Amino acid sequence: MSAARASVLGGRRVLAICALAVAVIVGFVAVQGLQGATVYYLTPTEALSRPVTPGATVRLGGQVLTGTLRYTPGTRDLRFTIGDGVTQVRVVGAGAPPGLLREGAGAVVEGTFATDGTFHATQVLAKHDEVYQAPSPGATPQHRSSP
Amino acid sequence: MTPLAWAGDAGAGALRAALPLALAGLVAAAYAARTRDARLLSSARWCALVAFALVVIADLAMVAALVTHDFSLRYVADNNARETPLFYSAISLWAALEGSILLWAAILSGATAYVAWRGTRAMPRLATTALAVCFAMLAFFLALVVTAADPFTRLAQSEIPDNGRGPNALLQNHPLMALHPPLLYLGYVLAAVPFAYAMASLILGEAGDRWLVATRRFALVSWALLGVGIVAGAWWSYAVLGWGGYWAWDPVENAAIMPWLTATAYLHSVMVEEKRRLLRMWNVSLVIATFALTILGTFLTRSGVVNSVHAFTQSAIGPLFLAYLTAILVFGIGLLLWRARSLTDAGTIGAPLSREAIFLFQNVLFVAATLTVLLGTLYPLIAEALTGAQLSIGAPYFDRVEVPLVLALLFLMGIGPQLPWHGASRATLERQLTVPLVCAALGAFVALLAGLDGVAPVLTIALASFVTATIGQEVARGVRARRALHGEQTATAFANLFLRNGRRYGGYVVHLGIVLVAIAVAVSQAKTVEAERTLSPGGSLVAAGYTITLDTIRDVNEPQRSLTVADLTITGNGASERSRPALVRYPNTLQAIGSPGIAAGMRDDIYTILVAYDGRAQTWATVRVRVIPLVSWLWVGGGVVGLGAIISALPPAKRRARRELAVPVPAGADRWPA
Repeated sequence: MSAARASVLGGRRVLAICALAVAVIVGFVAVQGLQGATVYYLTPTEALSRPVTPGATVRLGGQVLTGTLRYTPGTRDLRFTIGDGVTQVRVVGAGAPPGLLREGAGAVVEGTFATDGTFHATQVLAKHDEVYQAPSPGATPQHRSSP
Repeated sequence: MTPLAWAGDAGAGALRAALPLALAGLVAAAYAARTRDARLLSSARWCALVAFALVVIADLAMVAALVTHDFSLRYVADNNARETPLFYSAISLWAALEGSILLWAAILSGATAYVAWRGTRAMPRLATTALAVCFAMLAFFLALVVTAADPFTRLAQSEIPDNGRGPNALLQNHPLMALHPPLLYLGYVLAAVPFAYAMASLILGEAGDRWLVATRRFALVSWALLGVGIVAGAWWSYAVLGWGGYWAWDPVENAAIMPWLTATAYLHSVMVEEKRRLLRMWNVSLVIATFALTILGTFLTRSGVVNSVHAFTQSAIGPLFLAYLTAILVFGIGLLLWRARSLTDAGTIGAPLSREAIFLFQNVLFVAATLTVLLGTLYPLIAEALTGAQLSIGAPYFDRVEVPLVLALLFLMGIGPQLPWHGASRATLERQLTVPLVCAALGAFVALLAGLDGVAPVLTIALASFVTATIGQEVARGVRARRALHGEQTATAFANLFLRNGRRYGGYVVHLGIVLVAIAVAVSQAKTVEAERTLSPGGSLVAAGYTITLDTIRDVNEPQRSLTVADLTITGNGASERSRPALVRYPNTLQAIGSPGIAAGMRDDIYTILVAYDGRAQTWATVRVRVIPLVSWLWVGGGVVGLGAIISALPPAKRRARRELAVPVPAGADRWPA
């Protein structure tokens, strides 16, 4: 038995150090990841007053202004302007608009500001005001124009 | 007047009768546990059984009201329409909050009846105490369904509509809706049984592990249902939501995965307690955490708090669930601290290269995964509450944190079963790990040859090969041992491994299922090819060697909905298939819902989405195509996990005989033996 004991590798201290190391690394990666993946949800006015650095991912919520929504099927070029009553932001979209995107209705766009002030959306979500009941566990956000 | 107009009243009456029964059962069971009075136990048993019957009647009454379209009930008017097909009417029982809680109450009352009639036979005192805890939980849910979440609320005569609003469009778009929520609810609710027994053990101050043995199968079944339910949810999301993915780290998904993670940790650390009498306090903590997370998940998804902390008080459900969660945590942690002294371990974990140490590491990683998912889920709420800023935590956070943890867990999944208890010598390590390590290297090589790039996907394939090799090695050794010891044929020996030692070999089957899921996720995430183009009829686009041709665009009218369908033909890579992605409109929603066309295959899924079309002349349609490799194996992997859990949960022949020897409470006696 003692021979077997002697050949057993490592000891309690190694175990404690490993567990601690795991906790520290995971904690570090989590905090780093949290900072890198935080996407603020702003109105156009807030986005201009903050100001948001070009290239930083943000989410803008507002109303699609009447007469601004244009989708060119051939080039799949999507352009519209969203506003909150005070500030307007021109949005350049990626691909076809989601089914519910309408002028005068709400929209949420995720993407980045270019240096000229236009907003390049990687994701366009239509927002609708109808009474909505939460889907059951397992459901995912709707109206994604891209994952 | 609908044909079964009385069903709503019957259901409401049944629930109102069940609540006092649950309270009476609580008192009877608590006194029975204290006084060991067999008559009191008998009363508690009947309370449980009758309450179960009443709640089932209430559930059936709701189904009857839904299928007969009794719009005088608010729930039916909100979630059903005359055009809703029978099947979707029936499953609308869980289409919204009140009905879901009704289903929840039915499952919980069933579990309570099981503990009352079966559990108390083997371990009268422990199970009777656990029964009291079950009754307390049941009373909470019954109180919910007769007050804040009453599914049988009637509308005033003037408010009764001619037709209802119909179920949420997303919930009547796919038959998987029949499967996914009940599986999750079963998993959630059955997690209450190990919790009740653990609490009972603490209340009674038992030093042993009897609670753990009594609920091992419950924990396993709850875990398996939760796991299969999560995969079914991913499949539903993939087949219905039309964004070409299956997992988005949405709060609703996170709510389901967190208790599954802690339950997985528990199923493994239980073995350490059984074999080495270690990690006792830890195991009770995991059971409390798992149960609390099921309630937290329900709170997060049902109170509206996910959208904004300010939505919290919009329904009474939020505060009630929060109070329930707080009660569970205070009760659970309080008891745990009170009895901490009796939960001392019979030794310590010594060598880091022993099976118990690997289990400990595995537990640390699972808890780390749970806490980081919890952090990512709650961070937006905390930030909004503290600073007022609305923000969200995107998938990059979860990918960055969880992927390394999953890779480390895959590694431990291979190495753990290869190490003996107490510690491994160098010779053991060489004997156990040489072949698997060679397989891991081969796997990495094959992955690189197949064009997989990126560290995480290649590492996933390498580790998957590693784990598969360890399992193959174990099974081969088991078969050889049975052939030598029992003189069995190879096929018989193979079958007997699973029949006679199901717990261990069923566990390996579960591991194989997880390997399949890991490969499917890694390859489908890394190698999906996407293309999008606006096509005229006859036009085509090419993605990953497949040619997708648009044949026609047409409108289809069905009683409960109207669709615009794009007929596509898929050729290339030996495929010849048709696909029909559509945009679906329901009368109760403005939105058109994308219904993807999925040509599923063992190798690739060709996932097509009708993104936009010309509504007037139907001269063009924008079609998006995603070629997603190996994604079908994700669902297969989920099935294999379920199969492995069944093998593990089935009692082996020997134990079945032993159970008959358990001493029942004598029929005529009014006291039972301790």
